[in-house]
Amino acid sequence: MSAVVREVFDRYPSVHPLRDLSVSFCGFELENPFVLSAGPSTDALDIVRRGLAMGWAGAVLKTTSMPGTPVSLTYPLMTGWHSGDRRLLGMGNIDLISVHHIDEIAARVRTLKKEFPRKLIAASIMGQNREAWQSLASTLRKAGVDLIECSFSCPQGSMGEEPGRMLAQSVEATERVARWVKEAADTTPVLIKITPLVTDVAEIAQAVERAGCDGVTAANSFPSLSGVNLRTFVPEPDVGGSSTFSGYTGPGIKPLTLYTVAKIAGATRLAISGNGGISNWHDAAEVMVVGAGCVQLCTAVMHYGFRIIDDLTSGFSHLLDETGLANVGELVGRALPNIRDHDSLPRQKVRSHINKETCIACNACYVACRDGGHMAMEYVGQEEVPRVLEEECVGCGLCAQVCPVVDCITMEFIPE
Amino acid sequence: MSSAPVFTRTQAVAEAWRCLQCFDAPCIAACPASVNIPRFIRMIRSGTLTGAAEELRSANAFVTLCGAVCPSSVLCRSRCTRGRIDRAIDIGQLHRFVTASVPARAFPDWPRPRGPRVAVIGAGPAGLGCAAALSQRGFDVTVFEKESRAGGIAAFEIPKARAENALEQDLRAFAEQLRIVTSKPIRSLKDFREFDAVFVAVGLGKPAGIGIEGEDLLGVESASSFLRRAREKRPDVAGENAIVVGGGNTAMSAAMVLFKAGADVTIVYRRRQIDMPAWPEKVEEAAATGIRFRFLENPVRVVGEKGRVVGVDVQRQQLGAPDASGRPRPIPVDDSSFRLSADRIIIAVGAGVEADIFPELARDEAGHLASGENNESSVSGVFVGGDAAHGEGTVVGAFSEGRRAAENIAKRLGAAT
Repeated sequence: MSAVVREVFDRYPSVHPLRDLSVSFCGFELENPFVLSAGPSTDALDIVRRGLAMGWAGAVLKTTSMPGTPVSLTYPLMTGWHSGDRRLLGMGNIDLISVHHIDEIAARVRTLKKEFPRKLIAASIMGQNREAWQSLASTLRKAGVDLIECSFSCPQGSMGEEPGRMLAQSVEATERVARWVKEAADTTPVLIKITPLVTDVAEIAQAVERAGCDGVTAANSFPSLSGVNLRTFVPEPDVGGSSTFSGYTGPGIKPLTLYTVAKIAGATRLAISGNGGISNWHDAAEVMVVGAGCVQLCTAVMHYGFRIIDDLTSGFSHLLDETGLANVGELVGRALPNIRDHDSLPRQKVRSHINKETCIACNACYVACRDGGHMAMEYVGQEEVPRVLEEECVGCGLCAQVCPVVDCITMEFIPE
Repeated sequence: MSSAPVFTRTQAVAEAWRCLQCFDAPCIAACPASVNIPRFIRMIRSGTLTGAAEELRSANAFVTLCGAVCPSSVLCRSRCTRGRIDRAIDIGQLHRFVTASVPARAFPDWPRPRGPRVAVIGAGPAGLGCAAALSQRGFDVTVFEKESRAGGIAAFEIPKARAENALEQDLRAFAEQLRIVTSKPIRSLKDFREFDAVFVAVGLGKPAGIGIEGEDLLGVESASSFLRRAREKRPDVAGENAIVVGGGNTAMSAAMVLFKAGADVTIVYRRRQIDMPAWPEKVEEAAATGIRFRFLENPVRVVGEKGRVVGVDVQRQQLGAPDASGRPRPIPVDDSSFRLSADRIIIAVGAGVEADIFPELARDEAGHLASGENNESSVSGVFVGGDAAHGEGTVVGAFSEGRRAAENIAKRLGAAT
């Protein structure tokens, strides 16, 4: 640990009594389920060192390639989608793979394995043909990497089959290339990083399974345009008067990640490393209970720094205490039995209930129900609690979503 | 109202996002001009500042001035629903942010005057509100103002630093289209027969005074006269021991001006702090500055030496049953007088409508011009409004009342609306 890192530790010692959060993933004993995704935070040796020293269980080094592969970046890389009060809802990037090629990355794997023998040292790769994929995989295996991740889904510039097309958008290509990599990786676990932007992500995951790979990383960034400048009509980021599609990450994509992970978990027996939109322990736990065996974070670290590991480990410790679960592994997939087709959901009646004690009478629910619901509320007057018209309320729950007060509007079950 | 610097864009947008967008928002009901506050805040959120400015301006031509002087904490803000979660939206700051961000633009040209002839007497907020609304409908309006310029107390009594720029911007944007005859005092209605209607909004022209011995001594002055002087030239009061008599906003303003000019200031008020008609934020501002307050005391005699004030005898008061204002009536306590020394006394109570003007018009108990329903005076075709009809109010309240009076006048004259 460098002097600077140690100094920070000494100044801000962890305050949380932590439980054992270890979990087994693809045969590797992780000290906790929180791994750094392939990205800017894993593209410089000293940055990775700091992250691991601060308590992250492992890192996937940013996607590397064969020597001589051109990586032609242009700037700025980042764009964003903010709420009006500047909270970052999502980030977009037009970054590419690492500018460091396989030789350098293999050397870093060796270094990091020596310095952090108990951490998961993984690396992401991208090749342009069989020879490249297999050479990258075997070089990493020889360097002692713990896990190989294959980028089949970088939305910005893919060196896959066809320009502008992601490998993981083809069932056939996914299976073929995944097989090549697994062949070269041998006993080293291989994850395929897929994209949710396909007709049926389960089919892609099944192709990975058929290829003999160990698992997937899901769901990666989402192809996007962050916004458009309405003075210049140039989308963001403006790169010398034009722009291109970017990879959308951050809090806004969590629901897409939950969907993708749940779909894959329901269709395969693959190990799933969940990523995309995880910002805190709660998000991380949600992704795990729908099937992820560990999680990866990138945007949240880029935003707030490695220190968010405190929230993650503390939150998981308390979650285990409060739920009475024995270990982190017991979280994995725990919500899956509760996801069903719409057809097989029970048919029930609920009705809106407004807590008169906590209602602040903004009447946001009234106007929402009037214009976007079922006209099932009565406006009583300014500074008055609106009234639910019980015979009109179908129980859609819109009112509860627009209410600014926590737990003020609840949906009450109505027995037949 | 607050003199805090205008929000940055970041602050404004963050504050705008705190707004709950209430249905039938109480803040609108609490605004004398009925500004659609959730709507202009929505426009700040989406970045349509021009639209937000239009919304504000369509409700109130004195948009910049009101941004500067509106007591939002006793008006819109006082009923903000967000206050029930954490703290009310700072609507005044958002208002100022909009007017500061969008350059004032001249109002679209009004139609050529063709309708009935209306005289407006007084170019303060009420008179200008009425004149603008009537002109917009094509009435032939002439405004008569006794002073050399339009604006009323904003032009003469509110300190320049607070109101001058804002007033000028607003006047440029709309008053230049009005026919305003300045330096033309009007004291009766006898020359107004050729007008189809008259709107009298002359404000409170009778200076403050309490009618006690020694009030004519050098160093005793009404608050309005003092503020007027101070507006032009920093008063030479440094080191003086000044007493301000009264509990209204004018008393607070005079006290602040004295204090800033270096005087040691004490406010003497005959009731308690909670009974003061001044807006609480003005009282708090004065107290926080270092101005002292003496409650339940009332001056009975100003004491002089060689024609100049040296002190004031005050008598203790106790509180009796509520009077017409709903506040407890102060009752003098016998044999409780004592003397406070003073180099200067500013009287900020007892301002009213001059006694001898408009003898044709009936007065109410307080001496204000009697205003029936729809702003009608005791004389047919003559309408009244603003402070002359109701006593000291707000700029926004007077301006909005002028607009309502215009509607009533238009209704009466049967002109197309």
